[in-house]
Amino acid sequence: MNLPPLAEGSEHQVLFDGEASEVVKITLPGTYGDYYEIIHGRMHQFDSTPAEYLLRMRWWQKLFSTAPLPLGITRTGQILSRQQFIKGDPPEQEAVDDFLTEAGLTAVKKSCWLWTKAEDESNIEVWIGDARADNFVSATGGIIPIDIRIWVKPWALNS
Amino acid sequence: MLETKEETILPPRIVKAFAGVRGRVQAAVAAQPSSVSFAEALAQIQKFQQMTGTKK
Repeated sequence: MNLPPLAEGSEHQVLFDGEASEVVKITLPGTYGDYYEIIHGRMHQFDSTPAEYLLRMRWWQKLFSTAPLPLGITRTGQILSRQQFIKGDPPEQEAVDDFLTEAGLTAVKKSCWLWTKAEDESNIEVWIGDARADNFVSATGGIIPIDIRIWVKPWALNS
Repeated sequence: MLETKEETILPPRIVKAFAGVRGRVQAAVAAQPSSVSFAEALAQIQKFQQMTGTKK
């Protein structure tokens, strides 16, 4: 793949496909994102598995749309995905918090960018982590998530 | 974290609960420009990095 590099973060190398106005994300070796749990009142970070990384994209797409589309995996285990480049400005954190609140989410630890939504009849909770302003874009028409971490766990695990 | 197959499937009620915000996101995406140049994309990334002081 001969695309120019655009950025590199804690999870991905990001290339830019100018013809499609899309980015290609490649997970860094051995990295498949993370998720968080509150244990005894403190937030703990855990590494996600490749399966959880792929599920995160699936759930992101189902709930918000705009998720990267998985393309495949390299021989060394790096997952490639493709995502539309979203043009806009960095939003204020308050605007992102309002966006998540309007989605029905509740801040568990706003200072840690950790949110959840319980669906008790389905016995499930959706969690969203790392909901920092720079993981969203303020675009014409509203806030668009560009990199969010989503995981799901049974309601029973929290009781 | 994922202990059963059921945990990998989002219940329709949850998907439905996000319909409003999902619709707003899709409308905002529909208003996106049809093309973005590398220079524009890079300038935007740098703007975000300046905001956070970190790389994305």
